[in-house]
Amino acid sequence: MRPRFASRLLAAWLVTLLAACSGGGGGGSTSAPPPPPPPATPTYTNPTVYSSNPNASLANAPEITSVTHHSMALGSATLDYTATVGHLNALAMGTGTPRASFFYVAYTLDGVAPSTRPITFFYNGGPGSATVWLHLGSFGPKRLATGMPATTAPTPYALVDNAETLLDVTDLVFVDAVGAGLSQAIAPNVNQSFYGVDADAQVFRDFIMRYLLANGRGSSPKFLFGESYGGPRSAVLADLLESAGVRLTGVVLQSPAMNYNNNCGIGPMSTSCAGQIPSYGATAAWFNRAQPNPAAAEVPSWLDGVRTFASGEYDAASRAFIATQTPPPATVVDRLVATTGLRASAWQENPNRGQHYYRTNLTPGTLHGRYDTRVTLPNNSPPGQEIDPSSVVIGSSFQMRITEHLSSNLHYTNPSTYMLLSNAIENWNFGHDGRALPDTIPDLASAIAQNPRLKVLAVNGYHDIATPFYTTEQDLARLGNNPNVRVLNYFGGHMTYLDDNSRRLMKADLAQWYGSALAN
Amino acid sequence: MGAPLRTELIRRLVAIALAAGAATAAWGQGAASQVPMLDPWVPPEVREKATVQGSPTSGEALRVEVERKLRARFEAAAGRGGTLSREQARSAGLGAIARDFEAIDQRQSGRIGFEDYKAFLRSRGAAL
Repeated sequence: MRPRFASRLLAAWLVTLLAACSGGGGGGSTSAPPPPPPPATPTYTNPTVYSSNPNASLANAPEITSVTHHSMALGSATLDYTATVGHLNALAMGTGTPRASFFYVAYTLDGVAPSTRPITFFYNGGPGSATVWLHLGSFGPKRLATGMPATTAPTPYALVDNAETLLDVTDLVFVDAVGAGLSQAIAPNVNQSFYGVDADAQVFRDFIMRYLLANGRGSSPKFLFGESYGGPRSAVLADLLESAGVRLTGVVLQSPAMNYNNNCGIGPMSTSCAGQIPSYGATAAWFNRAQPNPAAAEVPSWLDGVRTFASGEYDAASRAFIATQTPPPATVVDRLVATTGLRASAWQENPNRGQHYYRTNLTPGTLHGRYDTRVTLPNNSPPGQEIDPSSVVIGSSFQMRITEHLSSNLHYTNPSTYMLLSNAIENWNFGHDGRALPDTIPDLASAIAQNPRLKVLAVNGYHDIATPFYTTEQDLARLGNNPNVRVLNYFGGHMTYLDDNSRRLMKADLAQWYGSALAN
Repeated sequence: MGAPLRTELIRRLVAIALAAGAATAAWGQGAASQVPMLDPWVPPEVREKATVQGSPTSGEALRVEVERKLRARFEAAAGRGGTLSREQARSAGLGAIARDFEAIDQRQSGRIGFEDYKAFLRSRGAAL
């Protein structure tokens, strides 16, 4: 084994050198097609120990890959694909100095010219989250069968072939942020060096440019797919990539928090909860608590009226309360009760109720999920310390299965813990463009100004009260009447793709959207 | 919701995972059950200092904000002279300007100013 690894390392260093000589990697230029992927290897053990500690850094960052070949049935077709588990260094723009070692898993369809084959970079958010949720939950070739929103599926969830994989549409690269998964800063940087809105997006840019160059994908149609904090990351990143000359074809925003200042769960303390109200309505409707309660099929159109109420009478009442403690009008309280299922006294006391109050008070003795309000557990928690049932039920399965998948299916092992969540969120520099909390709509608008053909698609769950769908709609509406910008909502929570029915709908919508983006 | 709560949550999640009989991971030190249940989240001390700065920008105000961003990036690379050569753009990491330089440089002077760049973007359909 050793000679093969040594030659691989040498090849990786040569790639680094070439990239450095070309000025830090330019993804937009045409590149010679890469040689065929190396043959599958026996189990590959990377002995490097990775750490999520904020002060951790790698003295040496090996650039290595573990390659396996796979085949799966998709409808009547057979997809033959290559899985590449890799560590690749982001190089500083200009100097080419390695700054961070990124861990990724790429699934690439065999027998297709890489230069024209679409490629999509997926990442979760946090900040500080590994990209395990998108990797094993959404559109990869395999997924965990969670059965959401039911909580009856046996755990740990089974890893199954994914009939809704996007691999027939695009190559998929799941990449972990610095300090998460097995990604880590390279000395003299430490993980903390990249714990900020701008620093994080810059190092992601450098990784993507490096990946494109190292894999001959400079001319491939390029897409970003970020979830939650990965949404604002995508906006800042898209602006930076366009500026650097990497033209994107499309950006998918999965349940994004585009503007922290427009979400009363995370924004300034005086933020109106208008963006939350339609999600409370969808939740009440799910539990038959709205008055009158719409049938499931009627919920999307019923929510139109809730949106109008939320941005009109409700928002005015909410802002009046925030400014002067003015009690809400009785008509507003009545409508809130009928829409959200919360009792009148709760709204009379404070019309600006955030997600925590709602999910802990909607149903006495029951705790609703923050990511997916449809998922509940008995509420045995002390006040203020309530867990998220929709997160608790899935967490241990994803932790266990990612490790298994890497070692058993992808033949890669490592002595480190694959870190699902670092503490980056507690040490993050949220400041961006003069604001204490990021508003990344201007970044997205800047990316569009540089590339007016850029397609943007936001996908949200009706029952997600962490990043409410109406908040996303309000955020993206700021971009004006742009036919390239679209929002689609589904039954489900933050991770709409965990819902079997919604994932099927999403796959169909995404395949159509990718097609339209490629033809744009 | 701060660090102590998060620690408490993780402690509880580990307890729940163990109670459910979830095996620990096979690698090295094993893996704690940590779940990104806080995303999105902002530390209270950061939230409390943040203030609402007017309504979110849209329309003309957003256009101005975008132009300010693009101009700042351009001028940081151009320095005091205010203009860029293709090579300066490239070495500053402005790959798109370097790529499109000839189309931006309508006068074929070898140097472009921000207004040249803005006019180019507008000609390509940007609402600037």
